[in-house]
Amino acid sequence: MVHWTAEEKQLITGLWAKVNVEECGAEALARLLIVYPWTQRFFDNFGNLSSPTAIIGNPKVRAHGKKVLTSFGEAIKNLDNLKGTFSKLSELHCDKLHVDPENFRLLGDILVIVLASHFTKDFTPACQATWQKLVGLVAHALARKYH
Amino acid sequence: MVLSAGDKANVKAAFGKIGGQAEEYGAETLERMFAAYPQTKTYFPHFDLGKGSAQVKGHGKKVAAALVEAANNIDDIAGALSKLSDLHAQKLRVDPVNFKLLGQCFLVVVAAHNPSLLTPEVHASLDKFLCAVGTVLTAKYR
Repeated sequence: MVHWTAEEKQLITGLWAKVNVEECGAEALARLLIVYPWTQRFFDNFGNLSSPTAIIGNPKVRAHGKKVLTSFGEAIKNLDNLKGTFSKLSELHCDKLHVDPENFRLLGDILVIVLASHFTKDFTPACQATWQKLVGLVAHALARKYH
Repeated sequence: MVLSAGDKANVKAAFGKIGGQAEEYGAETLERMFAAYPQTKTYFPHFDLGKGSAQVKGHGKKVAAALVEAANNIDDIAGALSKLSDLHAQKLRVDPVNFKLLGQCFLVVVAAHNPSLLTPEVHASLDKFLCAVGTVLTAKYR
């Protein structure tokens, strides 16, 4: 059973309230595809991913980034039940999408870096620690139904 | 994983812009790593890890200096860090998984202090560079 202190919950929800989900999601996914190019293997139908500029400007990347981060937002509304929240998505990523769960960890780390660049000094060590915990738990919840 | 000419240029330019702040970045990297990944503290039982610790600052300075040295000798990181590689293999024996954690925290520090520096391309190059440093430091482990 995951335990969140009141401070951790505040560090998460307080920051999330200021996040532009569309922009942040687009940036996080684009950076994932740029920094770890092998992750492009899941997106053959996304069109032009031939350069960082192409990836950043790609409308499918933007749209999918927004979708992914919107889903993340659901986690934040259900911090005490991440497993339940991501149960169906976990099955989907295993059975239909065939995504190695390591990719969830990679995206989580990228998201933390994107948040750091947006919030700069407000993204304190305590804030980072809480968010690393959250992205780790989300990755774990998404991997939970794998078989 | 190989550092392209573009990667090397990005890394050198990034460290050029970071300049004298590297020491500060090193200290903050460690502070963040200890906070986000408490298991990393097990390598420092002899340190005061409290806020503002002089030992953490001192050690951060050393870590940063090594990264700067690697960046300045980016065509031969293994050569530049050979003694450090020996030290990590023979004495320190930090589990290889921890270099990734340090790297993540270093990128967060750069992002937090200098977001405009960390374009996606530079992010990619720095990530590769930090991986390369970790690989060199663990190369002689077995």
